[in-house]
Amino acid sequence: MIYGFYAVGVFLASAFLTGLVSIKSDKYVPHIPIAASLVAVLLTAITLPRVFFWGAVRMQMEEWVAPIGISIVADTLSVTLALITTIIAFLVLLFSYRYISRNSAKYYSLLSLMFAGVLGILYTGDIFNMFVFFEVLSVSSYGLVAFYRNRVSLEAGIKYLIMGSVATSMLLLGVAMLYGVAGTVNMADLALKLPSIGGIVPAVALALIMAGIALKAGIFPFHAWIADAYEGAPSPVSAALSGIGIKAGVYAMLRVVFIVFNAPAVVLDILLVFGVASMLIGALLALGQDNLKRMLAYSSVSQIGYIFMAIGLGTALGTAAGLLHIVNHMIIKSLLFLSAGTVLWKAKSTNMKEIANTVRTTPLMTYSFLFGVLALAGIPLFNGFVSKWLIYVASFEKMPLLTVIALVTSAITLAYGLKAFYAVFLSNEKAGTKVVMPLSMKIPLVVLIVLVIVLGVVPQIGIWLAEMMSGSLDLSLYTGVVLG
Amino acid sequence: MIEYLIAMLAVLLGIYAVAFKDNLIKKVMGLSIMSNGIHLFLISIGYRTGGTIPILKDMDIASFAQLAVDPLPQAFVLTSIVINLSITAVALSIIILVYRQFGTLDASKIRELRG
Repeated sequence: MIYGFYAVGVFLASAFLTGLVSIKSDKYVPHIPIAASLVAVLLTAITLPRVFFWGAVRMQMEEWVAPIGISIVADTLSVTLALITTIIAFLVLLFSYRYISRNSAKYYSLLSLMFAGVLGILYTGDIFNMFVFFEVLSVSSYGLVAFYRNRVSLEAGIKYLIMGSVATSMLLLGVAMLYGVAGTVNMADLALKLPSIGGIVPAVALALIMAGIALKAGIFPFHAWIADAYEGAPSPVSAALSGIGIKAGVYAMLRVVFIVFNAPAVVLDILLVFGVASMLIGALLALGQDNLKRMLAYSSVSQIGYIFMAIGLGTALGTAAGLLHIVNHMIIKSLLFLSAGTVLWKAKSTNMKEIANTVRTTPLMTYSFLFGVLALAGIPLFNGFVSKWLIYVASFEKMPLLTVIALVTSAITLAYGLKAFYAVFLSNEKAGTKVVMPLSMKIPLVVLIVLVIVLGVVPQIGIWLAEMMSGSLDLSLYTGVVLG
Repeated sequence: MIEYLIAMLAVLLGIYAVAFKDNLIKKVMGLSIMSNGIHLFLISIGYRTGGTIPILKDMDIASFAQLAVDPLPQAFVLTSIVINLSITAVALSIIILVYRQFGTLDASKIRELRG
């Protein structure tokens, strides 16, 4: 019994109910998804100790046996990411309570669907189901990106839709090829059957699936949609897309590469090369931005690069560091986008100078953005430092040049982060209207700041989490859980 | 063999339309052609010449397994068709809004975001 998986159903029900309730009035619409996300947090929190202390569990849909029916798997990696996903989902929904004033039923319905898609990707043990949940995530995020219906968001929406649909089609084509040669779509079963199948088809399928997922994760050659989409979307949606949406892509990439194909060395090298490229190029693109949300978007590309570089190293320490950086970046980037959202709430523009002229900031906004920037750059006592330190150590063991590149990128990260901090938060003492934040916006910021600091001051938590999570990328353990 | 070739041709045609046609409606048509190519590919994987429908009726299991076509790709295709319907619906509604805002469907003229 995996209670955490029922969170998918809870969010689907919330998506349906918000639409139903809005027929009568929009007044109680936000309460439904907020309550649903609390239930989801609770369900995931029940599952977490079960998985952490007694090992991974598998559930079959409708009692069909393992390789034939649909498997739902909860292991340490998926359940940890699911817990953070549901917590961030709750905080984002709470933040939206006062932020979104018009068309709220459509907004909350789509956002619930998006969370359902992400949780589905985390729990499924079946590669075709992964495609279906990717589509649930994608279709709802196309709608959310175009939500404001102004020129910027419509252009971003149609761009993201066309690129995203091509990517998911490539994913489906890859899955179809795998089914054609192996006759199964269960990931554990595929992993056992693929080694005995020679020929070019599995390699082509892997390339297609990786290209499809890479676009969803926003790695370097496929990063074009990220900046547009984050700029066009409402700020809480940018936080959800960056904190949760693209992490689903990273997670799916790990599952496909490590479980289904058992981490071939050449594929890890490809991940390493593209990781380093997107790390450096993302940071340089962010440095040149004068638009706050585009800067944060390119910074996401850069941090995803760190994750893939660490995982591409292929060592145990590298994998653990990469997995921990997924968790840390989820928290940091949600904090940054939400604190940017508090400024953008009253500002009409996303250009840094124009924001500074129209909005006067409060200490909470200033400190949340500052802590986010410092954590992102990997300054000690913040959570980003723990995972970045592990990444430096792991890359130094393999290739010291990579450590140098990573350190330089961290310096660039600090540079663009502080540039934005000075431009938006410190140069607006006199002019502009003062923003009075409601409690529903303060709570998410405070919770995320606490998480950033606690995980940074007590690094043992992060290191323990990383050790636990890297166990679930072990192929024999996974197949044992699913098929045994 | 011919069905695989036609499927791949449809996928390539779709990608060509998405990449090189400027009109947004034509791009969405390209997406549909591409996914229909993949559907044809999936159906061809499960196809068997002279096979019967995969419903177990008046037949023992062994000869059923000999004769019936694979039902799983058909289920995949049904799922995928539903997904494509919703994507096309979202795409067309965004395109209507784009036309109202920009007054054109030419993708090369709808370019304000950069950098």
